[in-house]
Amino acid sequence: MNSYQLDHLQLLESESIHVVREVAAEFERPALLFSGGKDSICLLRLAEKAFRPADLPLPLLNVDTGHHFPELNEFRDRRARQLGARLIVRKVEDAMERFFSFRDSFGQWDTKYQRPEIWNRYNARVNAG
Amino acid sequence: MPHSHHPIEILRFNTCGSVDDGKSTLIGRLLYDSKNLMEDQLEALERSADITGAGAINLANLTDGLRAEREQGITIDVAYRYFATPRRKFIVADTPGHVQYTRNMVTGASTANLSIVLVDARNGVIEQSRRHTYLAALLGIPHLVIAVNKMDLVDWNEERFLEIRDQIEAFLPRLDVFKDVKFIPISALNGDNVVERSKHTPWYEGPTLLGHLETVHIASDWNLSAFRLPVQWVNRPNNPRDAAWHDFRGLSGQIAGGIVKVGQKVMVLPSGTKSTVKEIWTYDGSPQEAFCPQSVTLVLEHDLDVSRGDTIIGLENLPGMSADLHAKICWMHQRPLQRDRKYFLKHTTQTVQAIVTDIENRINISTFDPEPEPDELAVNDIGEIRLRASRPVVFDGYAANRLTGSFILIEQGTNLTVAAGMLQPPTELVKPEYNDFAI
Ligand SMILES: Nc1nc2c(ncn2[C@@H]2O[C@H](COP(=O)(O)OP(=O)(O)O)[C@@H](O)[C@H]2O)c(=O)[nH]1
Repeated sequence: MNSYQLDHLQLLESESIHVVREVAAEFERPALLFSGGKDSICLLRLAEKAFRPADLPLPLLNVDTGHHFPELNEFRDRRARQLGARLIVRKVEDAMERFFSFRDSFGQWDTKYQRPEIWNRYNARVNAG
Repeated sequence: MPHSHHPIEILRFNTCGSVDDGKSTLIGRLLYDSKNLMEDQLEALERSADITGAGAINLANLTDGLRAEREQGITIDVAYRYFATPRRKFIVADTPGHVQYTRNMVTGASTANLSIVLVDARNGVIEQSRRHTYLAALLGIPHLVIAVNKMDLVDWNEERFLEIRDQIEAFLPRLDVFKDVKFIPISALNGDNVVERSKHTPWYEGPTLLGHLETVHIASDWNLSAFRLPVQWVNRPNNPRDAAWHDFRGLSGQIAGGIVKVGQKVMVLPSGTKSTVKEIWTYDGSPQEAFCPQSVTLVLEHDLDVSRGDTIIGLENLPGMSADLHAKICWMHQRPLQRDRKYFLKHTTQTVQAIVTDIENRINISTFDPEPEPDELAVNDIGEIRLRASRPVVFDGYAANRLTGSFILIEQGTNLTVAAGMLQPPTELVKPEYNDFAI
């Protein structure tokens, strides 16, 4: 057997790092959603892996539900500091399951025409509006 | 656990077939028999079996139920489903809906290792079977399974199975891309030869479907022979808090082909400048070598002028580099493709403008024959075109490398993805001495 083989986690991690870097490179004002849940803690680690040793080139966007444990806010602030990331606290909609979903100028999401996601070529061009 | 010394790999596959061939039932069967359902899904299933009275579990409902749950009122082109056995993890691209089938299948299958084409044993090989097999070949899917389904409805007749196999084998040589093709007689409904071996097919000596999915050799599906790193991101810490990183300049990307080693000579294209790999930087340490499809950050000996969209390559097995491109495309939008139209072309990490200089043919995907010089390509059409890009593109033929051999076309103005393109092999390769005079 050759040793040039990734296991499932390494493969998914490598693909995720690719996606995170594409987002940072292609979008005009990218941000990383950070809720403090396990998914976003994981995403934050992936971003760290994607951009180290530099600071995080995109800000953390925190969904503040108003029900946070103090420990969570403390963790959030500490991680942002460690990663050299700007922190924005705001309320936003939840994201759906594809990589990118686009909104029109009214903030609506055209669910009937989704951009097909082919290979690892993500079309990140945003329409004016 | 078997093969615990091997890493657990991920196999991506898709299922295709016409309406009612049994796609939903098959996916449901795989999830159910490999015990990958959540307790609540199981309960719901068993409850619905009681209600219908038949006592049999409706596996198609399971898949369609998951689908509906996913969709929640939105149209999903491809839904991905996950299951696992101790040997492998599986990602199934399930393409619901039959309207945009070609488009959706191209999307779902673009990253697949394997395609399952379902054939209803009663109907035999129909036009759809040829279409789906053609698309799998077009997309360069290395492994093909022809699952002859509903064998219970033809009394498990071996002759029927062989007849279908012969019909498909008769046209396979024209497609000539699959590393392996397996024919498996199954009943998705009853589970024969899906996960459990069937007692109705003593004449069949091959693996069960899941057995094949678990063991088909996929480690060499990635290109490991020609090093390519499309630069995604230049990593340059600004005012790092740790002074050690002051002069760090890394070139980040996911390796799209081959292997790279510390000390190896590399060339940056399109400039042609050369350097040596000083370090392969990753968050988890600096290995001596890295390979496709790892995401890494390269540090070179020289501080070359490199930016996103450039490609770093090894000096063996060189790529093509040209502004004139020749490709097969699948057109995905209602507005047809026409000559002389300008699009954005996204290839690896660069986006250039490109004008369609010629539509050479449209492929009749039932006969596989090219129809020369059509006026346009309509939605779901496959054809061969020529493009002139605003800048040279560094590429390989799609058959050699699915990552550096593919692109998408984006309509200007609307920014919609309107085509998936697969490049023909370059007619001329970059020369090793290219731009030797540059520092
Ligand atoms: N007898 C028999 N019926 C099957 C088999 N597989 C699927 N079916 C039936 O064929 C019909 C269509 O199946 P479905 O999975 O919905 O097809 P899809 O449209 O390809 O997803 C359903 O009524 C299934 O119960 C099989 O192996 N044997």
